[in-house]
Amino acid sequence: MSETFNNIVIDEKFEVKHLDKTSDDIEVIDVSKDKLIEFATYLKMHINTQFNMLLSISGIDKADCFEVVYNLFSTVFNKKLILKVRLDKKNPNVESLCGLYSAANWHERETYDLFGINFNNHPELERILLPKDWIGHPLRKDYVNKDKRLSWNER
Amino acid sequence: MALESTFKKEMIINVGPQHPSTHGVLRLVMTLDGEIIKDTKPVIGYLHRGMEKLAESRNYFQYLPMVDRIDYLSSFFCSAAFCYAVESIAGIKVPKRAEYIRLITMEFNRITSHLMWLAAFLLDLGATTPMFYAFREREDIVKLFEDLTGQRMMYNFYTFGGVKKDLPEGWMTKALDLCKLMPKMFDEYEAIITKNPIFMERTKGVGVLTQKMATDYAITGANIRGSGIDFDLRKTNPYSVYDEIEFNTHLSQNSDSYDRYMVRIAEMRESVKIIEQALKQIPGGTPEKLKVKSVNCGCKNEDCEFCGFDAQLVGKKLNAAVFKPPAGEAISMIEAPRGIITCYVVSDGTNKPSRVKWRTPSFSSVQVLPELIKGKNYSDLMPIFGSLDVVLPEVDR
Repeated sequence: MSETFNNIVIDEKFEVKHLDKTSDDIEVIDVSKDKLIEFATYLKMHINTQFNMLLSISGIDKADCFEVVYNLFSTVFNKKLILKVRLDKKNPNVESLCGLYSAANWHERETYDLFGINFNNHPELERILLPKDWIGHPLRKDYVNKDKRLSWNER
Repeated sequence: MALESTFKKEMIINVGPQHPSTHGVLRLVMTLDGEIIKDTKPVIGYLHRGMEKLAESRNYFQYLPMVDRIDYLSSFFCSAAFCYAVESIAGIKVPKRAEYIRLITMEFNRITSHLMWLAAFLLDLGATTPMFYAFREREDIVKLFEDLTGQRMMYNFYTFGGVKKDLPEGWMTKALDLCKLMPKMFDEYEAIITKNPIFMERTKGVGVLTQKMATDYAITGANIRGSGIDFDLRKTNPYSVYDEIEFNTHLSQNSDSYDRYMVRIAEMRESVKIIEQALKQIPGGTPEKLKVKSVNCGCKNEDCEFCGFDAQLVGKKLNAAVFKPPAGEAISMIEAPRGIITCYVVSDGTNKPSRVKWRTPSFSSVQVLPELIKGKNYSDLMPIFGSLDVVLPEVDR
């Protein structure tokens, strides 16, 4: 993040938590799912941050929750930042970032496809990598493929 | 009467999934009004192999060879991304010599990838000759790779903490000779392509990717530099040993298909310069010299020029069966020929990665395609799609 970035103001305004940095020294910020849109808009628009690029969205299946990981990049300051949103296992849903970054569209579809995380207000939330009639979300840890067309060692 | 009413209606046609110009298996559902493209819906996923799911059931060393298959035209970059991520989780330091070998192979790989793009792009436009020119040089580089790794496409050459083998004897001389030869070859391409009136007519002012659109869709690599944004990870956030090497990034201002072609040609010339510098600066020098010197020296000091840490190939010998990096996560970003490859690895302390996420540049490039070709002629589809340099296995993973 840029040096003028004021952590204290952000912590109070958006109720964010600073988690441990990743092994390669990228800042990780935990944000609640209600404040996500507000916080992402702030990060994109504020002159001291200008995170204008959303590189990827990915999901992680943890033991007690789902995590959605947003990988932001600022081409002005050349800084990387990771946002994390924790969602409960029953009915995981989070607001879509499509209005803010066009890149979010397909990345959110992919996360929905593989994890079953619903993105509210997404223009067309349907499967992207797997066929439309696929049952289940493969990257969940409790996923079992019961497709009878597969042989026993492929299930 | 019936005929006239069909002329007025919009027509829906399918491009692909087996179309020869889609560089893989991509289906585009297009709504056409006469020749004007009204709407496009890309359908992907035909080459989905579940790379992220496969990582869950394999340990780190078993997954390493599969990583090369994500993008078969630039395999070195994918394995580099995975290696850097795992190395930073496990805290393994890579010796300088190994980093230089990685850099040399990666830059050669960038040239082969761009040459392959050049051949395919001009073949899409209907020019057959450049393909033979491009494959001529590609063959020379691929032969170098074959000497080094034993493979022509899927190299499986990098390992955690370094590389698997030293350069064979005489390899560096061959590589230097090739570096001297290559700029002349690039001149040959430019002589037949750059000022070609048909080529200019079909690509100039076609497929304009504005700066706002490029950052909004997270387009990276040569495509964003063709739009005039100076964004090259090798310069801005240097990984490997790129900070020890002098090179320039090339920008273009018109952001059309022609500019993306010019940027890629300039990048190939720059890669040749990088390789020449790296071959000069590599710690320990040629492998023959290094062998003799290290036997005669034998001091085993950490900072010795010939037998110290930096002249080694692998930082730390790892046992493949019991290699367990500590719990943690890392994101590695690599400037691949097509853009930024991001590998996100989450480790939970066992010998298998808990989650591996691949962010591939072509995925974003296909996403921006409908916006680029909206309202254009159907014949503009291939100059635009070809210039984005999409490889479909990388999109679907």
